[in-house]
Amino acid sequence: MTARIITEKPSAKDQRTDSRLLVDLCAGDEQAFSEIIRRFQAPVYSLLIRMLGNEEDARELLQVTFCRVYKYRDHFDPERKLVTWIFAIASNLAKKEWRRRTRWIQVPLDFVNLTSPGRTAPHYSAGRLELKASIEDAVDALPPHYREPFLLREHEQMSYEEIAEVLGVRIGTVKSRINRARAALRESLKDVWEEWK
Amino acid sequence: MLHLVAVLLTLSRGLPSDMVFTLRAEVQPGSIELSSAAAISPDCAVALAVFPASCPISVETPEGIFQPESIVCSPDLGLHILFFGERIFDASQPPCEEAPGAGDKLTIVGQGLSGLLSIEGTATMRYPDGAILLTAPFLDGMMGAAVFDSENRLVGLITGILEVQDGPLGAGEEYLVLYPSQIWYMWAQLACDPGLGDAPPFGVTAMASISFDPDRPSGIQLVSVAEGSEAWRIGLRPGDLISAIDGHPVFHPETLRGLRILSCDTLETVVWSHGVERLVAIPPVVTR
Amino acid sequence: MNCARARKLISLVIDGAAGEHQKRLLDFHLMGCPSCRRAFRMSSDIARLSHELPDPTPPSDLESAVRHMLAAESARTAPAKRLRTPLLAIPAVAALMVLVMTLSPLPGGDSGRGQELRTVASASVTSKVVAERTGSKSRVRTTPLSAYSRQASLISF
Repeated sequence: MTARIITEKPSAKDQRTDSRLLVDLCAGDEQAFSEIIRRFQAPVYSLLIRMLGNEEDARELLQVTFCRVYKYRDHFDPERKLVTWIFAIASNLAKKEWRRRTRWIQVPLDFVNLTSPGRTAPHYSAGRLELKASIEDAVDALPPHYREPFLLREHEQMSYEEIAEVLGVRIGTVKSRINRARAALRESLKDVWEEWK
Repeated sequence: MLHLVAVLLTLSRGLPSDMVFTLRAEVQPGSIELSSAAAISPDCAVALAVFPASCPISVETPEGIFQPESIVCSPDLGLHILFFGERIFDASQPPCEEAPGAGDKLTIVGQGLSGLLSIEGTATMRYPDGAILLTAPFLDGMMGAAVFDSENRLVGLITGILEVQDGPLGAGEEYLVLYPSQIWYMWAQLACDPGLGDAPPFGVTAMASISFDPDRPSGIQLVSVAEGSEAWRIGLRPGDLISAIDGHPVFHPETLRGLRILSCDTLETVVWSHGVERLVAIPPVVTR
Repeated sequence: MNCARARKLISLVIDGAAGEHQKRLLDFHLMGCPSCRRAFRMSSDIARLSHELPDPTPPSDLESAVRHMLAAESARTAPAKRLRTPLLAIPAVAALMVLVMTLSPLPGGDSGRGQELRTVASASVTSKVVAERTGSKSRVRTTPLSAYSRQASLISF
């Protein structure tokens, strides 16, 4: 399958590949660490914010993620991709944070309300915005372990294999969770989509 | 010293409320029934079969809602085992091999509408089919609740209410019914480890037989025994009733099926036939 | 092929992970199934729009914050070193001030050891209120306690 790994394109300054960067970092190159942070901060932050729901926690865990990258740089298995390793660190931190929080009781999908204000005459561009805003809410309403693989697939465009590595589960599990995430989103967005399409 | 060891073991087992999880069954479209699932290993749980295995169900843990990959059910035992394919339960407890005795204090943990409920109950007497009757308050959510003994071991699930006309506490007493894991822990073990189930057939067709007659025991009624089979060779015949194995009363065919496969030793059974009691030794399954 | 299997194939097709045979099977099913056709269009639209979801901007001072965190952690594990080096590296006047500062108890110090760097954010966590707990009791209920009964059927083994 075609998979793109979303990282920022290497700037004119630094054209090194991801694996080269880590090798250099282990050799003591501090510039390599700056480049690693620069390349991966946006997608990791994006995932953390969507998994944790607030900026403060996401910022905290973003820092801890890169600290861990630095501290355990020598333990990195060169057979793996750097991007899945960094995402796996962030994902595990987010999971630990979930356990720390009070137990959430998920609202069943019947009760998810997605009334967007100002839904008058369906207008193509206005409808598009509405559906987008509703999608964000609907994705946030997904149970976290459906939301995470869905985001890694749709937003980060990771392959099933990469997602399986990040989350530490089998590929079959990844496929089935993404399928269920999609089913859940179809259910919660069906009214908005009807008007929009 | 033994007491200290027991206390330490109890503490290391984890709290009952950590091992019981919310089970959601969509029994009808738009209508959800909450029940309880008890984690018996990191990736599977046991629940009362109050919903058909075909209806959409899910189990909720602190990490999210999970749907089982597969379900093994026994309509006889009235239980489902849910397999999740990955480790989702932080705490779990295999079903206990011992049944509580009369007077034992038990903890019942079930899923109420406002969260997990934990109440205390006392075991009173044994019902002829092997169930144990408990005195405890009747609360919303106790159906299918998991029951733990004073050492935090999972001893079974609550399977209903029974009204006993002549109970020790008077007439018309209502009790919560505990179906003890002593009867089905081996069925659960075989379900969790399908490789163990490859055994040559014993050659019997049996059913659970309940007797309210004090002169006749309850037990496993053999309805047919295949000629030339192992059961036939050791002397079992149709109409035989197996009432005890290794000194413990037995009530359900799954107990015999499981013990024969899981036990390494010969099973000493008490067999009733036409009012006469005899002993039959059932050899263990040789292939390992 | 039933709709449940078709939905799984829809998911694979959207991800570009379906083989030719699977795509043909799905097409055949979609020809005769309007609800799966609808599901396919919906999920395709959602997929396209999900990809375009806005990316929040990460904090601009991330690198310095990370390096600060790393330095703080290594300093905590080696307090003795911290005491000595400033005295050697700084000119005489400043050295006097540093001397005064180091004689007073170090903030954090040993009581800080083992303490988690991160602040516990539990106060700001909002627990989602469950609609099912308040109203709508007709939609969600616990399994009612019913009279005990046991099915007895024949088991062969």
